[in-house]
Amino acid sequence: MSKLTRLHVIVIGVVLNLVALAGAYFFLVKPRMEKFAAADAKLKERTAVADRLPVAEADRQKAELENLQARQDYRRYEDAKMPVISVADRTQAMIALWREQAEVLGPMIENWPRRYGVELLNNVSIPPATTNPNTPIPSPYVIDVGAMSVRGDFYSILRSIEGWNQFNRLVQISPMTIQGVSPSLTANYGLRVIIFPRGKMGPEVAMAKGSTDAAGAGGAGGGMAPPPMPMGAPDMGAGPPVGGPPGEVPGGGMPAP
Amino acid sequence: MLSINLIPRSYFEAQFVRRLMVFFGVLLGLVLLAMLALTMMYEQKIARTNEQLQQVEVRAQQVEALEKQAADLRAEVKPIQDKIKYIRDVMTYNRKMVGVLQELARYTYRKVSYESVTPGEGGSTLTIVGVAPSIMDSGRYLLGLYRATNLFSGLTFSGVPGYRSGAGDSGQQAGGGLAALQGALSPVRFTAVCTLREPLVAPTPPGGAAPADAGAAAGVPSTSGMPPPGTPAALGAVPEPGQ
Repeated sequence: MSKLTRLHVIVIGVVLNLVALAGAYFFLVKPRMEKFAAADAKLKERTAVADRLPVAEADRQKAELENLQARQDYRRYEDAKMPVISVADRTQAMIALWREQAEVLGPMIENWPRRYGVELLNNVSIPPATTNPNTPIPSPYVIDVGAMSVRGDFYSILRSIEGWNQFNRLVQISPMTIQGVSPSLTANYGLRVIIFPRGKMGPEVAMAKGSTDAAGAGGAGGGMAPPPMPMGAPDMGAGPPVGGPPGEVPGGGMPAP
Repeated sequence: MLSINLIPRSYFEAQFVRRLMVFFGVLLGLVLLAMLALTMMYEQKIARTNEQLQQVEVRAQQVEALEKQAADLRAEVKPIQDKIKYIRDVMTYNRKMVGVLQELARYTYRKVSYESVTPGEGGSTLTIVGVAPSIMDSGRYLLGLYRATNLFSGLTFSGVPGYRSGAGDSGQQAGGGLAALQGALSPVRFTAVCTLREPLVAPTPPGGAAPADAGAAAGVPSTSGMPPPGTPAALGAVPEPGQ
């Protein structure tokens, strides 16, 4: 000890203090500083999230309203333009489609143009629906009615085209060709009926082996197949009443799910 | 009086070294204390921050729950909104051709008669076949169509006769002044192919796929599309609005 000079003590003291300082900083202070920085950053981030509370509440209310509005809007269209075809029960959906395609739709389409003072020149023919309940019913389900030909004056024809938007089913009209001498012009256009079935596709129906879809054979092969819709003259009066206000859908047949 | 320091120099040196050691010892202690204080300070800050974080976390989780609920509500209703949009698009599409024809009637010269108005494949063009009583009238009609810039973005017009050259020249083949006059006054059968500014494009159903044809799905031959335009009937005039 007596041999230590002041130089030794200074060097040892300085080194010892530096080592203690560095050691305490790196092992005590720095981890806590980092922990604090992390906690602070998280606090800032979460505070920013928490500050969105009024906006989030308003947005949720808005989403709820949008949801409600969309459901109401769709219900309106559904009531006015869609037959009740619930695919939750495949058999009932199939039978509802039979009715729709064999009994309901044809007379409705045939009688509709007359409301606008135009004469339907062609026979409406609607293909039969499937006879296999396991055939998936797509959404949208499109029934191609094919070519329509109507005769009338220019503005009656235009009104009759616009009038399809008031029809009790959703129809899509292809751009029409217009020919002839006014007031006896002839308009030709294609017509498709679009149906959104209700519900989710139900389980497949257990069937005897070898059952096939006989729809393509016009109902001849299935035994149970509905007849196709061979419509006669537009004046055929046997169909259900048509042309009522939206929601007055003739036929349909199945209760809502 | 003379005082003589008999204490050896090494004694003072040792004393200084001892004081130096005490100084560095105290310094070390201070350093350690300072570091400890700093540590304690950060510990307190961390504790305070965590406390605040806990308070904020409740609200933040509330916000996240609300945002998730909003997103779920929107996701739930998206297919319905798509269907609504499709239904509205279909109804708008049905009205489009009517609008086009009404506008076309506005720009149609009154002396011109149409034989047929046919939309082209893809709904981007409109082919008009008609008859004008004279070359002058067909010119007036064409000038009228040129003004329909809100309706058409392009227009090709054919059928204007030359001298002894095909269409409409029946009256000119005889030659001579009277024949030429008759030619000028003879009807001009024209074809105008107009490119629509807004093509008549059918809306896409929800999901983006073309709508499945129920008849085709069931194995029934489809009868989709327009019938081929038949032979044009006799000359006919599309009336102007108000007529």
